[in-house]
Amino acid sequence: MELSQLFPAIAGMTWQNLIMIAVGFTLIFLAIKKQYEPTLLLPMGFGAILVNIPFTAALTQIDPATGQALEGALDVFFKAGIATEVFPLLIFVAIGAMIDFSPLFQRPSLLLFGAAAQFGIFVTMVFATAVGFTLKEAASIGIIGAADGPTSIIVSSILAPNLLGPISVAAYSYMALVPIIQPPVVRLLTSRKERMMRMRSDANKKVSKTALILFPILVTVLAGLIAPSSLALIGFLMFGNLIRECGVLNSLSKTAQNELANLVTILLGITIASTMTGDRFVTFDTIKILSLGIFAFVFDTAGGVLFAKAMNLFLKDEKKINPMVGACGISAFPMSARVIHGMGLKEDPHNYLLMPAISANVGGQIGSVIVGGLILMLVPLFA
Amino acid sequence: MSPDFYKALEISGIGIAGVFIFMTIFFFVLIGLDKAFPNEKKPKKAAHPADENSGDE
Repeated sequence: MELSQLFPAIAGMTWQNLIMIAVGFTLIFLAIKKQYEPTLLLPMGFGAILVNIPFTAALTQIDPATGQALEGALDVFFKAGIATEVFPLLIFVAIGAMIDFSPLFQRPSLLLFGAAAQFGIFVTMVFATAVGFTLKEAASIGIIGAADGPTSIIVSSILAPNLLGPISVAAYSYMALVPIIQPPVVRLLTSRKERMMRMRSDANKKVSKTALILFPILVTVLAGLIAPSSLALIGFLMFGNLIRECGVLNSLSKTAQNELANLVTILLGITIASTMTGDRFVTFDTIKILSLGIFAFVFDTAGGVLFAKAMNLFLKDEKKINPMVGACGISAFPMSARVIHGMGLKEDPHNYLLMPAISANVGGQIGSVIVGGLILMLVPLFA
Repeated sequence: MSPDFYKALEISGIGIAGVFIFMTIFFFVLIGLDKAFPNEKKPKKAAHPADENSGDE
């Protein structure tokens, strides 16, 4: 009897599998030791190990005796949860239940940063086509810049399912790296005087319950009328928010924020890992995608900061915006707001930018979902 | 450059304009809702000036 018959997994191991197992260990290390998005990176890291052991029963295998396919659990999860978009949409319900839109009512103009800081998505999409990706692949890569994991998963699972693994890894890894990626870009584009700029606080302004209840409903209706393809994304997000704000479903709201979010996150992470097999992941394209992902984050940050500077040209002195707040227009909530608040305090220990930064960051959560919907609507028309 | 490059440029133009249009609409929704449903809760005042000094002390 040969070794390959006795230990088929050892005999079937390729160098790509070994690299992916190392990637799995790295993701687990980053999750535990550095606490970089541990809820997603740990399941993805473990899943990467799980699916890179040759002949793993976690993935569908062909039975050599009968020639029949033996369906693996992760493939079943993938078909049920990712291909149908169910898992990311359930995550949106959970995120919606966690979002408080009051800061936007306190300073509505900061919502516009949620649009400006999506600039990097489009720049990256154009650049990705220039380096050889197809339009659908380029759009899926660009959406990494949304700093919004579920949106990245939905867009790439529809437009470029072959790239889902690297795109998800890039999206979640870079979200965790916001404290490292954003500060140098912000510092490069702002002067010390600009970083020290103080902003008027509207934190004491109270928002009526009726307005908070009507906002998610109106946003859903308006988004649906203009771009119906964005409705799944924005609708589930706003549904979660309505559960939170209605005041009569506190139990459901807590469940969405905790149990639902946790359960789906476990399944989402390990299911995405099913696409992280060595033969699909260890390619030059993956390196290009990871590089383009950083590119997208950098240009998003720059877009937000430069838009704030442009807005300041038209605003009265007492209403001027600290340009650093523009960088919070990405969807990485509340990490981006915390980073910018910290940068403000570093320049001036009495400059509290947290509330405006949170407002812009909430705008970014809406903006990223809208961009996801727009890309899903526009790309098939051009492809 | 490939045809996809020019298509991506076109989509980017429409996409950036689109997201600004959406956010501007939502901006006006926020303003409108805030105007239509202002928070009218005011700090509770004592019903009678004398009540202010009617503590248990």
